[in-house]
Amino acid sequence: MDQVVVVAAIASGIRFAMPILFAALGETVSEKAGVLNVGIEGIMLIGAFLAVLISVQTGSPWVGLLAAIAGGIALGLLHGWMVVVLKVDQIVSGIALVVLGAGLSGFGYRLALDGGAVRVPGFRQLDLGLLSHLPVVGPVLFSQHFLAYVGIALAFALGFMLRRTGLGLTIRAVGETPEAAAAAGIEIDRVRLCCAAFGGSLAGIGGAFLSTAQLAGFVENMVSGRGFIALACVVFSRWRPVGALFAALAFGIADAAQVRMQALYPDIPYQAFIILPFVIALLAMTMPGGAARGPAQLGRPFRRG
Amino acid sequence: MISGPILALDGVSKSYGDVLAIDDVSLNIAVGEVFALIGENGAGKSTIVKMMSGEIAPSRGTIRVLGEKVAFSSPRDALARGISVVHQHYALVPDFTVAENFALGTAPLGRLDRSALNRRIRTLAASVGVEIDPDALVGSLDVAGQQKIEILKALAREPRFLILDEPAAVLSPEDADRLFLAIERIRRQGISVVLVTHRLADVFRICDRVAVMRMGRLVVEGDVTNFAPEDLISLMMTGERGAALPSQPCARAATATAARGDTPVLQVRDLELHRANGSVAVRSMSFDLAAGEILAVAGVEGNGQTELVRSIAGLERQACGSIGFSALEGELSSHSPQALRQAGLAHVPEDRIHDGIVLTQSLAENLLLGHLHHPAFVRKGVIRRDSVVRQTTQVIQDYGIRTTGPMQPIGRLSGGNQQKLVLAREFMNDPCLLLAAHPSRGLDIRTSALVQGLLIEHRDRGAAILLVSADLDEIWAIADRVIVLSDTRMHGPVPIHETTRQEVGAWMAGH
Ligand SMILES: Nc1ncnc2c1ncn2[C@@H]1O[C@H](COP(=O)(O)OP(=O)(O)OP(=O)(O)O)[C@@H](O)[C@H]1O
Ligand SMILES: [Mg+2]
Repeated sequence: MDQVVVVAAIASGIRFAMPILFAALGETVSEKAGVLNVGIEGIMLIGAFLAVLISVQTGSPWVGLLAAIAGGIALGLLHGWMVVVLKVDQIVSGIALVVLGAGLSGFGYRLALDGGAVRVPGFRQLDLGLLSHLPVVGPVLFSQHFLAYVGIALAFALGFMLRRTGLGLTIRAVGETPEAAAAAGIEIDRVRLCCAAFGGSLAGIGGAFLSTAQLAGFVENMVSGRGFIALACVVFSRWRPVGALFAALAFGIADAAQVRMQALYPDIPYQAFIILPFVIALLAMTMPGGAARGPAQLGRPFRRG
Repeated sequence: MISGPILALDGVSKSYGDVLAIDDVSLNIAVGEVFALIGENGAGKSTIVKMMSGEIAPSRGTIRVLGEKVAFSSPRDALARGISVVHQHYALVPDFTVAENFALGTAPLGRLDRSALNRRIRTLAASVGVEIDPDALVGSLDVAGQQKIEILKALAREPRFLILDEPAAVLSPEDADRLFLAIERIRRQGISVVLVTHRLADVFRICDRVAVMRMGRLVVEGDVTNFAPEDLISLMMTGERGAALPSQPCARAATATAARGDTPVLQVRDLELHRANGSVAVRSMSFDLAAGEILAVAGVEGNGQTELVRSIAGLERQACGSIGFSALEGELSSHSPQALRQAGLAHVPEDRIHDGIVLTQSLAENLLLGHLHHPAFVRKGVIRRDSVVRQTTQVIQDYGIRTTGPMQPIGRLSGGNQQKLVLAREFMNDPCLLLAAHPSRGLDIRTSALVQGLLIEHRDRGAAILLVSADLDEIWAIADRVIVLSDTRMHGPVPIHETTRQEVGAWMAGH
């Protein structure tokens, strides 16, 4: 492969990484507070669908993005309500969310858009002037979608929030030792609900990015496992947002590379390439440190008294 | 100025299903008074504390703060009214540093100013006269260290009303003194204090009024000066004044050397122990422990007692030196904790919640822990439920455990009753080497006496017992020899009757 191909693969790899990154960042915060959401795949699907639907109807991709965020919050809260208030098993509720998201988005798509192709109004490219014409770094670093910069900044911001602020301390305590946090005057259920909603909103953004920035249009089940890859990113990064950024980039670039390799090596069955990012995910999980301990009370409801 | 009580319970009851934990209790606590709440294990003291702090809601009755009726829905509401609690089972996040635990719930949501936080903690600690490292991980501290953090954390909130649930049980005499001085000081500032304790000396030393609880009911309430210690003991045990009291165990009368063998059961040579943070706890210690003797380890906590016991129990590995256990070949650390237990080692851990029991499992299952190899309980890998339940029922009777039955989750029991089950489990099957770290911590007077009697009984049977205790009274009551750990050094061992409390006290202080 020559340099041009590699540069293009990395540039698009960053783009491919973004849906995973957003979902993984939201899930990191949610899991830090003790709420496991294996249903982010479903939320991403709803986000992807709402973003397409609303931006087509309003003509503005930004309004579409807002709709995806609202949908994400709604589903995040639904999950939160199930597991935090009703104390339903978190895995069960999460799986229900996957099914619900797939069903609702597919059904809505056929209902509202007749299941046909639509022209999705695109985001205007961020103009970084001369920077984007630099060789190599131009296309890789300075020609990305606006939201990509938001995602990368968010990874660092959340890392700072969790480690260095009172809010982060509160969230971590709620996921580690809720009894102690409650005794310190923290309302456990409220914090968990907020974190679940936050996780949902970011999964919504991830879905919106996929359908309006990375691709342009909605297809049923288009998230195709990215939600689960995001879950793997959270574990692999050991619940650290900046780690999640690098994990997501690794998967994104692997994904972009496999797409190009399919074209380069037509003799090899394309399925072998498609599974490449998933193989990497599996291998990464078996690496030392990959199995580090998560929040102690992850997945467990808090009961008073 | 406020004249009425700062906090009043009015006909308060609390039931858990069929269990009536608190039965119609009314209490008034005045501004600036130190109020003692005493009673036997399971009497309901902690339950009262939890209702005052908003952790649980009363089933019936009302709580008033400064005359105003309140319905706390969570500890947050109580904290907002200036009620601060030191819990019997600490409310600390083990994965956080000391400073982070202080910040929890009090720091603003924004950026943490760690240097200001550390300064504030150091100042507060200095004002009480203790030393703490704000950057230490709380999980790496021993129980006394955690207790100090918990107390300082409550003081840091500048409460109007401070509740302490058995705060002094794990503290060294010096630290307990410091705590009492701090209580005196805040009392003068008009802050009210409720002190739950099993040590009557504490009641007479710093409390103005005392309430005695028994089986969920308030037996009596009044000025401390109206009672003699015997009155309180009698009231706690029987609910009446002047009842005949069971006699204390009399260790010295027993033939201390009756079963004492010549070959040591435990042989410790040139042991060097490190704390979890890597610092040296003990530089070099050697001693023998023979069958049929109780060797006490005294000293201010944090001087290697925790590490010593954990090394002998096979839970951590010593830095240098050797430990030999007569029941097994070779170095002790080459055997697994399970092998050690099967060879007859028993261990009453200092941190019962984390190392002693599984809170969500039943009494029967907790009794089974560590005895899974015993044919009476497990046959061909299948648990013999009947015999386990029968044994547990027996234990409940023998130790007077307050519970609804062998299948109740142990987390529902009062702290002292949990401890009783741990002791029962470790005494079972007549161990030949018993490591007892603070065995009577948190136990009421009656049960402490029972436990001390059992220790003597097992010693006379021929068990070798290593007793870690911060309580010199206990050591003088039952131990045969004593060693003191202080400042990375070991003093002794000396036979109890060849030393004095003054000498041991001086060793503890590092002289
Ligand atoms: N969650 C619960 N479910 C059922 N019973 C409970 C629960 N919590 C406490 N109890 C019961 O209430 C009674 C009082 O317990 P409490 O913890 O108040 O005792 P205590 O006086 O603090 O004893 P100790 O000195 O051992 O700490 C006990 O018999 C206990 O079994
Ligand atoms: Mg108690």
